[in-house]
Amino acid sequence: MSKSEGTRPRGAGLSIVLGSSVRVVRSLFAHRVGWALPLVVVLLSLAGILAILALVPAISPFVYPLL
Amino acid sequence: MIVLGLSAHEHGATAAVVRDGQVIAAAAEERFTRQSHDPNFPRFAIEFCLREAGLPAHALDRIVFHEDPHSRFTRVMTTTLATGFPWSPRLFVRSMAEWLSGRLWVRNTISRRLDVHPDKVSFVPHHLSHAAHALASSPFDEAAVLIAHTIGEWGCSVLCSGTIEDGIEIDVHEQLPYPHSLGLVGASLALFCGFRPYEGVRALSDLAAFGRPSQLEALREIVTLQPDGTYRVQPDWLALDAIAEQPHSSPFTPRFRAAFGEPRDTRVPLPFRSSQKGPAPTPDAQAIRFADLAASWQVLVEEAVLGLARRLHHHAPTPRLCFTGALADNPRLVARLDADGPFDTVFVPPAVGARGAAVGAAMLASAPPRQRSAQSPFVGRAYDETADAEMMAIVEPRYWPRFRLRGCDSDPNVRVEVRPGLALDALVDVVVADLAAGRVVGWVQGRFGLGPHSAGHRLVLCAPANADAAMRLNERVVDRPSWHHSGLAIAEGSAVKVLELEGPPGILHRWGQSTARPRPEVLDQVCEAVHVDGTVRPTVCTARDTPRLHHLLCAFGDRVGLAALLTATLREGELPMAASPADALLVFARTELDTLVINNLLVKKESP
Repeated sequence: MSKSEGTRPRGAGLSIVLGSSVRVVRSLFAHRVGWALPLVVVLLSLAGILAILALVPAISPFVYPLL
Repeated sequence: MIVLGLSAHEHGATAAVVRDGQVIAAAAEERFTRQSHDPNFPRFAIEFCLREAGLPAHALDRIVFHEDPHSRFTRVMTTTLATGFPWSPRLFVRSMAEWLSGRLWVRNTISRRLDVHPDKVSFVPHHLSHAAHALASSPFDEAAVLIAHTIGEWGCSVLCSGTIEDGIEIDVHEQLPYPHSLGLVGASLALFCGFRPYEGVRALSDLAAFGRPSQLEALREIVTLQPDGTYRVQPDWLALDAIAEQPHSSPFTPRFRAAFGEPRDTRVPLPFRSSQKGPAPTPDAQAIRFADLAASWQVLVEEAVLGLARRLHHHAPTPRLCFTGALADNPRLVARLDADGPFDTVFVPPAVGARGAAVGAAMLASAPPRQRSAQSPFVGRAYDETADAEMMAIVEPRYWPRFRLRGCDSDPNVRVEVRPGLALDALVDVVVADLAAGRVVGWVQGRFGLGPHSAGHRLVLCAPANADAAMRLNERVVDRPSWHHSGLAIAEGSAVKVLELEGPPGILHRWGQSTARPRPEVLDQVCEAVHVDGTVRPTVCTARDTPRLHHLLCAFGDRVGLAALLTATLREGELPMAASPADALLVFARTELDTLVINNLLVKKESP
């Protein structure tokens, strides 16, 4: 896979992630489940917090059973 | 326009390069990594495709992915939330972890790995990828398309029709949304019977021939057929979201276990045998239970797909049908659809799963195909055998016992004869003599095919009347139970002589996608390829598609009177199909393969 004459702009990753998030929200509304958006945000935040906690050795034994 | 089509994160990540509607190259990642159904980003397959096209990645006009990950993520999130959360958070957390750590950001992955502008990366809905591949691989300009797969973004079975004129146009008439997936129920039953969930569809179909549909009524509780031709899957029998997102997790609910018992212990082999010769083994009650379940499912899925086909014919009253999706890898179902369905001609592409979807996505984004005959599946890599053949001088037979397949004899005195650079006629003479003498022959020619089953370039062959050779082929070369339905390669000119066909062999029998009945007068000559239900799975070889195999078949026919050979895909056990000469030589060294042909090279085991 050639990297010599690439056309990927710097910082493209962040804009793609933002663009994908917007598309997911649009898709939720397109499938008439937009009402679940607040719940999804809360749950995904919780999942993120759990994932971070799982990295802490002292806490991870209590977190792993949930994953 | 040059388009790269990709599929990943599912069973069989694939890359395909299409230039102006012509497939330049396509390959599954497993062929290079040797990991069966490798779902990882197809890095090696992309490298191969770009090399074959002679292009750097930034010269591609477009890169298309076979599904819309945003729409699919929405479905996964809402269904795992709706069916299990918060009582069973594990599936939700695992699915979200998998998606948020990579699958959702596939545009970024592609852009970063290939170093291309993200605007070049786009998504094609999964069902459209399937439909475009089926239509573009077929010789039809216009056809109805029935997709019966496990699941796409939201749709499970899709009824559509398409035309190829100034591009591929697909009209979607109807979609049966999740959880109404015949593919997921079939995958669950395959897992229940001890097979891989997604690839076990064909094994389940082979096993069905040994059973009776005694559990049909119980299965009708799970899949209820509707008078309008559709069906409904009752969600409380199987945890379909579990098998959809974590394929090897158990989808069997307590209600399912109460009705059907415990899943099969895969350490206990199924005591069935396809061969008609010799005493048939006596199956125990457990084995009969699984065979009956497979037979019941076969009847039910045939009824369901026929219902869908009739409904589709009502939407799109055309005489031609393209049938694709995971369920199309069921030759008995395809035969039934051809015989009893409302369409005059049925076509099934040789690659029906995610492999075909990658090609289809690229076809849809590319300019219109100019070739209007069925496209060849041989779009993989071709190899020069010389370098690998030199390896044979180093890998001597006295070292083979270290890595021989369990159950294979390992005679350290065996001698290996290597004859490079043989002309085709000389090569065929030796191979025909070997086949007639009951030897098992490996056949590697040119580019490997796209589908999971070899259509003619990576084969194991033996005489179809020789029970001993067929047993060794099944059990000591490809390492599969002898109840599997072997293929039968037939030279085009002999197809009418071997098969009970109403006319000349059609496109349905070109790549072994369907079954057919052999003529009674040739039964003795093809007996080892005849399954217990009295059918064979033919691959009718033409001089145009597979010229060297066609030549071999004709020469074998001249010698024994019938141009037909029993076939299996050249692989060992659960490993992917042999791709390179080195892969084939490894099968030769590990198993009881007697002779191996790689292009113009002949390798033979000779006992002292």
